[in-house]
Amino acid sequence: MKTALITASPKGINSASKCLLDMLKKQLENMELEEFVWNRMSCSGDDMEKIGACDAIVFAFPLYIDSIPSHLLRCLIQLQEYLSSIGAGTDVHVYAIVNNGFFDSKQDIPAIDVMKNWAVRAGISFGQGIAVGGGGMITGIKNLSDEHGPKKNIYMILGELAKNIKSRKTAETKTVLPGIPEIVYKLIAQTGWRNIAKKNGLRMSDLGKRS
Amino acid sequence: MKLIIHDKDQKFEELIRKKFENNGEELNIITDDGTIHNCVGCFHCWIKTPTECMWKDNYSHMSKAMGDADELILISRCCYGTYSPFVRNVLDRSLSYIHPDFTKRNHEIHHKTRYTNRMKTSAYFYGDITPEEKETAKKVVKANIINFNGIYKGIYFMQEAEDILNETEAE
Repeated sequence: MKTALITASPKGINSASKCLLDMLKKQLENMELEEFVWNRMSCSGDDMEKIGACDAIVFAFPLYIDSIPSHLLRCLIQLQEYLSSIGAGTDVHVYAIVNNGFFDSKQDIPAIDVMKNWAVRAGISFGQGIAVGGGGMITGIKNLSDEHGPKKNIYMILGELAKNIKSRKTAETKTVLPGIPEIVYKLIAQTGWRNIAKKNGLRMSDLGKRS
Repeated sequence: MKLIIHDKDQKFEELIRKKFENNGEELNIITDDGTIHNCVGCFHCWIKTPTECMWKDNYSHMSKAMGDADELILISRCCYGTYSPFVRNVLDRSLSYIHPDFTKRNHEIHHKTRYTNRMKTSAYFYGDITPEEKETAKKVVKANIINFNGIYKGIYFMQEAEDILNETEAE
């Protein structure tokens, strides 16, 4: 019983996707895990062989323009062909954790549906999708307590996911948000952009520049 | 101007011109030249060099290309209910068409618009597409249209990209 955890954000280990997988990992105790970082436009044969030897595959990735980041899509096409060629079969389950920068986790649903369709093409089972909103703040709160405060909701949903992964169960997609009000999220995000832009020597009006 | 993003070869462009170049209307056709970089999520196109991608390839000014368009036409192989990697890649690189600040649209949070245009958007998916993939593709395209504050024109499914010639466009 081996589980592959794939951080599939272009930002690699500095991403919200990695933070979410770390929160999940804490709840996958006593399981044999194999970790991967996919932030390039292709995946290696070695990675595919290792993943092909797992019976659960967990992808964590950000929502890019309402769908799957293009580098991940290229890798998924490769992996689908590989899994089909080895006859991985429906005992293998795939799980997907998608996060977006909005405060609406339901906007992740089309990307989760893409993963369901991918599983069908690969001849494996789709286990569960977790749609996370407020992804923009996840790296910023990674050192806070998992069980209290803004991370709590997400940690608990990932706990449910961990149980499903352990028993290779399929379950309905779940949506979750960090435990802060929408208005606070919006304020933090927009102030954050302005602070970075200022550090980069931009005026506030430059944020709305047209070319 | 019509902005067309497709994942076929140079020869296919002749077909596209035949179909979409009505009355000498200008077309901006984005083709895969094999050099595209993937978006790395650095947000430079928002907060360092607004509208310009930090990658200096032929796809660094997608924001302007969209800002100049009154129509967006996507022609793509359907991959699991989304676009092909190249078309997805171009869309990822178009992030700065929208503004970093939030707004409410369609009762959801989205980004504010940067430009004043609203692209009439249609998508043509080709390939061996399952009914579930078609449903997903419809969701993806509609989400894109809301996200880009565009106007829905149509979604079409076909076996071969060349079948596009036989499709009757929605008005």
